[in-house]
Amino acid sequence: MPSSPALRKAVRYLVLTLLAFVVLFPVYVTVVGSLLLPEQLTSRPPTLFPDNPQWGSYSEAWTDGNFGTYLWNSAVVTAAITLGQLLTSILAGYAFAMLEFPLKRTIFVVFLATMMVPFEVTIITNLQTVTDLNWYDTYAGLAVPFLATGFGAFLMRQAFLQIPSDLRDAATIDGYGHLKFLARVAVPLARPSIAALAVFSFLGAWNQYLWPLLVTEDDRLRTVQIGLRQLRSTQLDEINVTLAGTVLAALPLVVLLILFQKQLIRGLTTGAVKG
Amino acid sequence: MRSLVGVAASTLLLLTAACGGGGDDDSSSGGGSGGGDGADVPECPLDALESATEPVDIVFWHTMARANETALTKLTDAYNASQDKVKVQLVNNTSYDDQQDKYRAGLTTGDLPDVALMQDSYLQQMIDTQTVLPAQSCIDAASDFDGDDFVPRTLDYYQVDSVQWGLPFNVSNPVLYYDKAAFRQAGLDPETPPASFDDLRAAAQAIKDAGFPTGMSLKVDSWHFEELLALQDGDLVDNGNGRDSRATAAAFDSDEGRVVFDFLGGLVADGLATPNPRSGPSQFDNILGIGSHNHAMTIDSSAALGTIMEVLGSGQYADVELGVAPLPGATEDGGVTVGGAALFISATGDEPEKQAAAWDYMDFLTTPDSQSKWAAATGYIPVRTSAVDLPEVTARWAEAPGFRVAYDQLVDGSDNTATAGGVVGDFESLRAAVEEAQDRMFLDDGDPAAALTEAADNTTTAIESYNDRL
Repeated sequence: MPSSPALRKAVRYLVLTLLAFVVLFPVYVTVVGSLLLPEQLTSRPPTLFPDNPQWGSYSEAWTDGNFGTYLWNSAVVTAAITLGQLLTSILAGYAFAMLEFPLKRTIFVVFLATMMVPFEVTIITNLQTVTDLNWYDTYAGLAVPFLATGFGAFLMRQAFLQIPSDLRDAATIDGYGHLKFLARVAVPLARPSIAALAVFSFLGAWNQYLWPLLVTEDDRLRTVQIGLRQLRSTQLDEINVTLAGTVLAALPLVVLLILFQKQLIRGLTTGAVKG
Repeated sequence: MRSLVGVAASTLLLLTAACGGGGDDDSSSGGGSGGGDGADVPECPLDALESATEPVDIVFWHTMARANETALTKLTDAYNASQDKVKVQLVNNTSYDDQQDKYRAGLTTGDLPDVALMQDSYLQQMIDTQTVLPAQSCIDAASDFDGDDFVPRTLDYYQVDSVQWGLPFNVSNPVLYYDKAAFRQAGLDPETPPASFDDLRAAAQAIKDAGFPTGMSLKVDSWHFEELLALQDGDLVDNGNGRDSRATAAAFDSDEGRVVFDFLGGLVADGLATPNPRSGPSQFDNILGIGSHNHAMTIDSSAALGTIMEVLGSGQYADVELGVAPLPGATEDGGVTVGGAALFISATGDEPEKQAAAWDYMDFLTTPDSQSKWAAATGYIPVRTSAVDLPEVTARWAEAPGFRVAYDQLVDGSDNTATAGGVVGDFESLRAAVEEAQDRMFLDDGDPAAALTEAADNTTTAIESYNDRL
């Protein structure tokens, strides 16, 4: 057992560094691989440092792989889904937490029940609906089925329940209606949960593969995960391009993670401690 | 988690497919008596294209990646430019499996293409969707279809009970890749590659004796087993390999099947071969291992030749001299079957002009000229015998004779139900069962005969359960 605090800290950092290395190594290999020549990629022992970085794989993924269009589509769809989920979840969560209305418990249980049904189970019926609405090959078909989730409503309800009722009473005395209270008090207080929800929605929407594949046919509407699969390498000599595509597809998530890191962790621990 | 959900999804989609096939579909029930060969198939409305007043737009679902997609786009552009009746739109659904999922989902919603490129093993399921207008219908209706010019087994594969369901488009089969330099080193004649199981074993032994860690690398791929079975005229499933009527049980737990399992199991048990997974990060090790002198032979798809030449010829493996040879077999009876994919006319709605347009496009893709360009650009085997004499193919084959091997072995040997290949509804389960059995045999020193029997039993169970769902 290490005695001095400094030593303990050193050990802790050593362990964390090792773990970080384990987690980051595959990412490193992906980035390096995208910059290597094909024959360096297949060499044994593996090349772990690009002494002569080849950026051509990125331009190939961008032009041949049509990644400009795919990334834009993913951005549009992901933004719509994330904003939509935030809006519906905040409103529904607030209603369940702060309002009284008939059948509230029953409706809430129904909301919860939808969390038990994986999306894959409803995929065919959703597809049928989207096709009937003539939304095949449209942004609407890609985004609308995901604008509301039981999970989001549940998460926001839990967050709003943490708000002391005294605050609500004080606000009522000050003449705040529900919407004003929601905007001025409840949402700012629930920021960590909202940020966490935003990140989860974003991740989920960005990484969607099966649904976009099913509801689109037009290349101008397809998303980046489909583009990535199209770049998949059945050819040993093109793995660098596949890896470049992987880096491009993952980049927005990395940026998101860096921007929202604090909120994400706070959101996670909030949920964990207060349940 | 993600993969579990994926499994759930595909199971669900499969169930939907089974239901969808029996349910809301009207394409095949309205069949007429168009069959000229005695087979009862619906009519192919070829006239509808003649009488169409404006260009007919059709959608083609394919799964070609990268260089192959470029070649397909070129062909399609040429087709679109060559006439003004039909305009084809290409849709890339990324992989055979994902395209199947999308097709199954489309059975309920009607979001289906006009032409679909479907993997060989999906033939029975494609028939069972009841959304396919058999190519046979259009062959009967067209006066100029030259079936005799096709490599017989490429057509045979997609023919069930005398009905041609799809037209072969991209075709490959497994060949033996070996290092001629290593052969010389081991005292073997590099120009006489192993032709039989005995030769293969002797060569593996000689290579190992020459100091290589092992003689060859064996990809754990059910397709290779199926081919080695066909090379002995062994059927995969019952009822004439599923071609006379629907298969009801596995037939590969036979003498022929045992010969293959015994041979492969023996190679691995005696250290003359190491197994290699079919997918995942080490899926290419069987090829790279030739470069790194871990072994000197492997079996892989002829479609991989281009990339193998590229990698082994990239300069880092200067002492490797790639050789390509026909797949060695236990006997000289049978022949290899085709792998790859075929074109199907998907006809759900009442749109005769689209069906006619679909046929016109398929016909174009399989002309000797198209096939010559396609084969030269991709490394697939041309499905037309006369394509072999066209400039693109002759040039490519002169430059890289290895490409010829797969074609030659496909026209070599007997044409029968075994070499036509098996037709099974739940082909995925058959392949999973065979690969599982091989894994057990290779990795856990399992008894080959017992492993084979278990694979056959599991396959029969899967076939029965598929048939029950229809």
